[in-house]
Amino acid sequence: MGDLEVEVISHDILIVGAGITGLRAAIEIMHQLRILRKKLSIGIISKVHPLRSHSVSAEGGLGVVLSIERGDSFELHAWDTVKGGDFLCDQDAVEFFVRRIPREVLFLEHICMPWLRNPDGTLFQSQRMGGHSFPRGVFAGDKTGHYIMRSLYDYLLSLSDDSLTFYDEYFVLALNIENERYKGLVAIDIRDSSLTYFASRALILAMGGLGRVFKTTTCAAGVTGDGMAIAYRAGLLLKDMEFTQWHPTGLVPTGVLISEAARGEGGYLLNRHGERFMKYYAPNRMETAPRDIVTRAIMWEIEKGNGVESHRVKHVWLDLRHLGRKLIEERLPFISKMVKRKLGIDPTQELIPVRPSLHYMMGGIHTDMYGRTNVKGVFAAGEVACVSIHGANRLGTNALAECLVFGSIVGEEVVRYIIEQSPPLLEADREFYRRCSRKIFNGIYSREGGEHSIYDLMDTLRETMEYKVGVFRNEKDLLEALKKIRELKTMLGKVRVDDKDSIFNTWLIDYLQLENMLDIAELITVCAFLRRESRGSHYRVDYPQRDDEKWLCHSILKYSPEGPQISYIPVVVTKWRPVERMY
Amino acid sequence: METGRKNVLVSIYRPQLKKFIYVTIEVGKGTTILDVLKYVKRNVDGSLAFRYQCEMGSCGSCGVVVNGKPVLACQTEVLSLKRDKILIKPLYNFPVIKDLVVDYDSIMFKRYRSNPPMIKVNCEFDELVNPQGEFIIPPSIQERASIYARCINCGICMAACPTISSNREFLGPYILLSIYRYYLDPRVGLKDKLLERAVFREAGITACHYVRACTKACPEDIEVAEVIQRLKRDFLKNLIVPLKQQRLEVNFRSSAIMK
Repeated sequence: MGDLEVEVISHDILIVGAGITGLRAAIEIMHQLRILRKKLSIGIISKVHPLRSHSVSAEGGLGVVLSIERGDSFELHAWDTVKGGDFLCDQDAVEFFVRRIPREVLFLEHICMPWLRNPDGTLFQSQRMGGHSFPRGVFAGDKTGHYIMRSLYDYLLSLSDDSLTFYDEYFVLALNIENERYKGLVAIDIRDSSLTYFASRALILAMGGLGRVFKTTTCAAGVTGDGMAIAYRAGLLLKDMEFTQWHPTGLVPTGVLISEAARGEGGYLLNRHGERFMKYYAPNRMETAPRDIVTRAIMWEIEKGNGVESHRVKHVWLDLRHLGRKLIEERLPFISKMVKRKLGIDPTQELIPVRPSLHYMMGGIHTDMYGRTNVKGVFAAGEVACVSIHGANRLGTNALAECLVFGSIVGEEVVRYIIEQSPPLLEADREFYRRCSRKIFNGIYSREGGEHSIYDLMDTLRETMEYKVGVFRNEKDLLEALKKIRELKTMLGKVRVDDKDSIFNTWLIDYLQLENMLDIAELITVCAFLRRESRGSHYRVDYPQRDDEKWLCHSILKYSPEGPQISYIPVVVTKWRPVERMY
Repeated sequence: METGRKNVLVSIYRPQLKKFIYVTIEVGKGTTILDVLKYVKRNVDGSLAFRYQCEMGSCGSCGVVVNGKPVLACQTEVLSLKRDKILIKPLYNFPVIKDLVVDYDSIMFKRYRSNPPMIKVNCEFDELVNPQGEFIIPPSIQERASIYARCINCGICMAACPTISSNREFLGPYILLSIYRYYLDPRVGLKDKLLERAVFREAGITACHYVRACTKACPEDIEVAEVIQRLKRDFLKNLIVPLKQQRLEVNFRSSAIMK
């Protein structure tokens, strides 16, 4: 385990993360290289096998304008997105984005995506998800993410030759960026805890979100904000970190996702009195208002005493009974089976207990609409990035579209960057490698004693974020949360090391993930504290109004050893001035 | 103890140490095998290794053997087993890396990567780069392929298969199922090649003894063994009327939006 030998692997392009964004980027790189008749080597690093990525859990569909003759348009999709995002979206990026989605849907169609069909064999487009003013969702059952992942992965394998290498179950420790110059990265092979220095000419970060920073979440155990944390520590700018999205319908008690498709297909939300309470909050759109509005409505109902208590949590009801067995079996089979298995409830006959659950991160690594970051040669796309197309609140079905569209765009951009600028492949930085190695082997493995369990720290962090940086925020709670997070950070240095084995040490990975979660939690809280207004998913009880005079701007975070430095940049407004959001 | 709760004795086998972890745990309605493993890692032995991710039965990470049966830990409720003693072991047929973590690459993913089942999509390269429309696929045909595309790659069929345990060369239910999924899809070409792959010298469909352990174990309720039977049937048919001579037409509709 010494720090004598430096294990080096070199590629022209490295992709970190093998969910929908990472795989789509790899495919686009292969396509571009074939068009240009060039050859470059690509490495794909992922902390899990690609088919275990959290993208496979995406249930709902993909919003796309396919039929102008039926009354939809790109302009309408863009407007829905901008209004849904409470006017914090960069409007040029949104228009660019919605116009690219049809190409992605039809590409998937060519690589055997099992889309749901109309009786005449064409693509079925029905879902009317929250905030969309046209039923533009295409989908495959309620496991759309799963089917997309399998189609992309299988197609990528069919293309790949010796130029593509997968590094499964490698955990990236740190990016080596010096004076805004990208040099490489160091990753640990989970299987034997050996460290590898990966050198490349360009890097794509596609590492997903951060749901697990909160207690109630729809996200998988590995969704711990690693991408944003390592990027931030290496000097990449982060944007709009205060905008964390709650999905209105997490299944009680743990918050497992009940797709928005359940409401998109006509499901009701009921309070304790059996009343469709959305009529008080969004009289026109009712249950299919955007997520931030439905989430707050549920929490207000619970606060007013109109909630129900069971499984030791307060919640409301989701009612699918009137949809009928046929529709539920055809379009919501997965969640219907899951509800039965988890709670013994038959959704065709009984009410489903639901409450908001943390689902998605609007903020992330600051990029332009081509996925470029503030460091040349480093690109980011998907949930880890913030373009910003979602503004302060993402609409349902725009995430899968984002992963595909921006995955393909960064793929194209990275090839262009390498061909046009021919950046050099830098030699492995031995000193950097040694620093990473010392951290793992001297800093963690050889630590003796220690009082706390990392799992206790993790629970405290997740509860703090849920109760103090949750749906309703205020200055006092945010300050308390910040104090707690900083306290937990110092405690992390004194935790008990439960596993010193070098073979598949999942305790070590949990420790490294917790370290990332703590950094990210601090950044979310700082941004939430500073933004003294309410916009989209960020709701300040002490500043309940949106303030376009002062706050029509993106928060930008920059790392410094003393703590995050924050600045603001204006939102790009092309067509639509902010107006009151009525639904 | 609250009603509906009970104590169970859990034993977890650690092959690399040739030892067990024994612990008595109180479980209630909804407590899963994964909850038990997380409890043990946290409170009994932090060095216990197992994989998990989504906790909702969609990522396929957490396969283990419980009381002799390969299952997904996150989808298996302890009370539903109706036993006071629970024995948890790593998946059968895979080499073990540590504790409950097995090496899926060995007989599953490595083989899959070297023989990817989507061998050729039925269109020109230009259409992939600039797709201009959609295929006309009757819903019944699409649904048939969708059922088999539900596979979550958990490897439980591979662990359940008695043929693999005696014949390491056998392609196994996972790969054969993947082949069948694309074999059914009208957008895939070279179907005769796909069938050849399913035969895989003598280590493919012909090696299957139709014990149906895979079908019984599949957490997605896919009839994997029946799929292998259908592949056998179609292979024989193909010997009589070669697929190359059967015309498989799929209609295409241009999309106005791409103009």
